[in-house]
Amino acid sequence: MDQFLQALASGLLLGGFYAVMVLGFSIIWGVMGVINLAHGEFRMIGAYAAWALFRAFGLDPFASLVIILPVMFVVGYALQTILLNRVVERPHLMALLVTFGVSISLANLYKVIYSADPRSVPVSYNGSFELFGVTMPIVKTIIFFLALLIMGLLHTFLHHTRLGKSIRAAAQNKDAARIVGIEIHKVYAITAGICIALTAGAGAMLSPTQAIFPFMGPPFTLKAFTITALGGLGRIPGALLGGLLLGVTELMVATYVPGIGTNLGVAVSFVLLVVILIVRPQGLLGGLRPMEVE
Amino acid sequence: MNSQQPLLEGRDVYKFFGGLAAVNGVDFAVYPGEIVGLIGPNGSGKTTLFDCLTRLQTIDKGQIFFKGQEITRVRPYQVARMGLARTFQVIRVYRKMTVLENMLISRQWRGEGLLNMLRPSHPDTERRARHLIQFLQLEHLTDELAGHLSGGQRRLLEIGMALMPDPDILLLDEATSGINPTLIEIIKDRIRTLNREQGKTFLLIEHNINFIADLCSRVYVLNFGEKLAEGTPEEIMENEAVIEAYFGA
Repeated sequence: MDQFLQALASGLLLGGFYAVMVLGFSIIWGVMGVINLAHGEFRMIGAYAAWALFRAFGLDPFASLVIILPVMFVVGYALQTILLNRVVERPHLMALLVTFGVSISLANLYKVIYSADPRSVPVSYNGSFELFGVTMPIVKTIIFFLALLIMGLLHTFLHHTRLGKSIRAAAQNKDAARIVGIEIHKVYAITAGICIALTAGAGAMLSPTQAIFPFMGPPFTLKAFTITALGGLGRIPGALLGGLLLGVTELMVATYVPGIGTNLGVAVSFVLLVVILIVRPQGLLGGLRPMEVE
Repeated sequence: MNSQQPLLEGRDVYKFFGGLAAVNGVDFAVYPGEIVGLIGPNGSGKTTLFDCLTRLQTIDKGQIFFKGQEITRVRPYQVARMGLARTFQVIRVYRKMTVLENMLISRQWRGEGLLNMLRPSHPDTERRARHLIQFLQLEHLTDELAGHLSGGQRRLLEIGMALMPDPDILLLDEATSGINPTLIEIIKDRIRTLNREQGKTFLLIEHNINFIADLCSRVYVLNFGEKLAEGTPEEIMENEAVIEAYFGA
C-alpha cells in the first residue's frame, strides 16, 4: 500500500509538471493549428537559461522565472512574427517542417555553445520531506503548486481579459475574428509569446531535478503529443488531467512492471498514445476535434 | 443614376480559382443609405464576391473602393475597422462563448496597446452590446452559450456581432437561410429600422426573392461569375435572362 501511495504521489507531482509543460504545445496547436516540433527545445532553452543564471549570479531557478518568462515571450513573439506567421495558413506540412528545422537548429546551436556535456542546477533544497508516510521531493512539490497557480492565471487571462477572449475567438474561427477587426497575426504572435515563455518556464522549473543537455527536447515533444491526446487541444483542465494521467501511469508502470524503470517513460507514453488513438481517435475528452480554447 | 460617391464600389473585379472565373469582370456600386440585393443561382459567385470585398480573398484583377478609398490590398481587419462588416453563409459565431461575450468580442480589438487589452470591456461597449441584444430580441439569451442557440437565433446574433462596431455598411450573406418565417420578419424589420433610423447601408445576398423585393431598392444578378442584370426588383423579376438563368426557361 505504501508503495502504491508513493507511486501515486510521485505520479501526481510529475503530472503537475507535465501539465504546465504541455500547455504551450497544446494552445499553439489549438489556436493556430501548428504542431510545434520545437516545443521540447524551448523547454531545453529554459533549462539552460536557469542554469546560466544560477551559475553566473547564483539566482534560484524559480526566481529566474522573473527574467526567463518575459525574455522568452519576446523570443516567441519574434519567432511567430518573423517565421511562423508566413506558414501558419499554408498546408500543415509547411509549419511542421519549419518547426522541425527550428528544433534541429536550436539543439545544435546549444551543442555548439555549451557542448553536449550534461549540466545541473544543484539547489540547496533539492531534498524531500515526509507527508503521511509518503516521501515528497521538495522541488517537484513546488513545481506542482506553481503549475496549478500558472494554470489558474492562464485560465483567468483567457476568460476574463479582452486579449484572452480574442485568442479564444481566433481559435474558434479565424475568419470571423478577422472580420470584426481582430489582427489575427498579432494574436498569433502574442499566443506564441505566451506559450513559448510557459514552455521555457517549465524547463527552468525542472532544471534542479534533471540533467540539462542540448538534445533533451524531443522526448518532451513526444510526451506533449500524448498529453494533448489525453486532455485535448488548448484545454487547460484537459492539460492538467492529461498530465496527471501520464505522470501516474508512468510511475505505476515503473513501480509495478519489472525491468521497465522510469527511463522507459517515453515508451509508456507512446503505448498510451496508440491505445487512445485506437479506442478514441478523437482524443480522450474529444479534444483532438477542431480547436476551441475553453 | 445616383450623383453621390459610392460607399462601396467594385471596378472590373476578377477572381479565378484555377481556370474557373468565380467573379468575372464585375462592376457594381452601393450608395450610402441604400439596401441593395445580390442574387444569382448557386455557384454564381455571390459569396466569392463578398469574400473579395471583405478581403478574405484577394482579387486577381480590378479595384475595390470603400468610402472613396481603394481597399484592393488592405487587410481584412483593416477593412473591418474602416466600417465594413459582414455575416457568413455558414453562421460563424463563437459557440463556446455566451451571447454577450460574442457581442463584446466584436468590438474588442481597435489597435489598443497590450496593457489596455488586459482590462475588461469598457462599460460603453457593454451597454451597446446589451442594447443590440435587446434590439434583436435575444435578451433572454444574453448569458447563454452561442452553441446552445437555434439556427435562427445564431443568425440574429451574427447580425448583432456585425453591428457592434457601428459599421457604415453591412454585407449579409443569406441572412434568412434555414430560418422560420417569424424570425425572417424580425430580421427584415430590424434591417428596415437600421436603414431608416440610422442610415445604415446594406448589401444582401439572398435566395428569398420576397425578402429582396420587400427591402431592396436595387438588385444585381450574377450568373457564372458575370453580372447578368441590374435594376429594381420589379425589373429584375421580369428580366428574361434572369428567369432563364434561374429556371432554364
